[in-house]
Amino acid sequence: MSHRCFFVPPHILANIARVHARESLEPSSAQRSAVVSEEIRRSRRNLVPGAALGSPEAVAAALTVPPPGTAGRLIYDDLGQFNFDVQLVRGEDDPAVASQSADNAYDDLGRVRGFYKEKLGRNSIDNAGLNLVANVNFGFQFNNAFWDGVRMVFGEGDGVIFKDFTGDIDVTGHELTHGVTQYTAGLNYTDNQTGALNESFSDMMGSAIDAWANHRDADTHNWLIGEDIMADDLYGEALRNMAEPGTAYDDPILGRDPQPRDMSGYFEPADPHLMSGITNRWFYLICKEIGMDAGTLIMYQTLQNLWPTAVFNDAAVVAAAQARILARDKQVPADAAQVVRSAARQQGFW
Amino acid sequence: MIVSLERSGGFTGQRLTSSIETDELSGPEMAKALQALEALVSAPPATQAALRSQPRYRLTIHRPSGQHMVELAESEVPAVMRPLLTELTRRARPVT
Repeated sequence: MSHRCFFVPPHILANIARVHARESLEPSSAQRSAVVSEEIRRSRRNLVPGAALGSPEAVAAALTVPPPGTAGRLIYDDLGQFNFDVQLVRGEDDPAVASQSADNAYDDLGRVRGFYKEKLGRNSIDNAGLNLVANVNFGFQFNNAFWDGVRMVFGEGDGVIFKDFTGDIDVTGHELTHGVTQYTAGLNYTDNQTGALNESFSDMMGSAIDAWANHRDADTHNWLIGEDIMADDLYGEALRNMAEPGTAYDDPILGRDPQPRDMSGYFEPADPHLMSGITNRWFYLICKEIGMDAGTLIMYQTLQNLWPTAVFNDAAVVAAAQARILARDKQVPADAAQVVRSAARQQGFW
Repeated sequence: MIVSLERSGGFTGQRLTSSIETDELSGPEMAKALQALEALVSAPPATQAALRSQPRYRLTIHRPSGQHMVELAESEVPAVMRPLLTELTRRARPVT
């Protein structure tokens, strides 16, 4: 494992970020310096269409390649290969294509981009217009989707457990939010509360985007993650339930949903997808009380003011502080901070 | 020898496991895949922090003398190892 030596130790940067998060909506320089890695910057600069194939001729002449920094969309079809950026099939403002998965990805990238811009004032994943790259049909019957640091990757599913992963906006909202986390809090993806927070923020934003795109509020939203990608024999099941963690699925193929409902079920080390249920329900309780818009805004501001080693209690303290600032500015209800703390206590954070 | 797989991570977070006796594997592609795996477990790379939310594969070689393990993020999987991973994934079942 490579060793990195920092002049200012990470725990001091974390403490500076913690203090600043209680005082301001703006992320501190300590938080920013704790987060963005040189590897990510290099990856951004080197990502060009056709690079994977080694020549500009690989880019279809009729397609639009958006200029860098314009939050433009680029959709690649990996044609069932375990390679990235195999064939560019649609660029920003290009017409729909024959591939449903490519068009789904194009549309959902646009919706996620629109949500972050209109509801949260954020210009793409990095808040600087990073172009949005998606790969569809990655691998053969690939039963997953992911953000790899520079692109969103969708599998087609095997038809037994999952259908094509472009079929649910939860997926795109969740995975692109891993990118937002990468450029903001930089939460370490470890098998403890920090990793669970990373996962949870993606579910929070994915769920908020799903509700917004479907014109639902906290009372009419289903609070399920991944319900639209379950294969036909698993219709009615979902991957996660933010309202009632541990109840998303129970069947012979998948087993039973193992997420704990609150801190009484917490243990570590644990896969981040397990303990994220605790903070997912925290978000649900807040939104049910003060509305989805207010809850989402508080969590977005919280994400911008956390740091790579933050844990549940840190998130609750920062969220309450941000709620007070937003309430002062009349952007959330006056009692938002109390609602945040009450929900955290209900979930057993303290 | 036995090779086992534990897959997790990505959007689903679904944990799958499987194992296979390498005597069941045949063909030059599989031989190359196993050679690549042996090389990786003897010098495991460190997964970059930015890759850890991807689907991850924990591959373990089980010998009478002991176990040797390597963990790879999806984008780190060498192309030569795909046949082995495809077979292990085909046999994999969710951890219940």
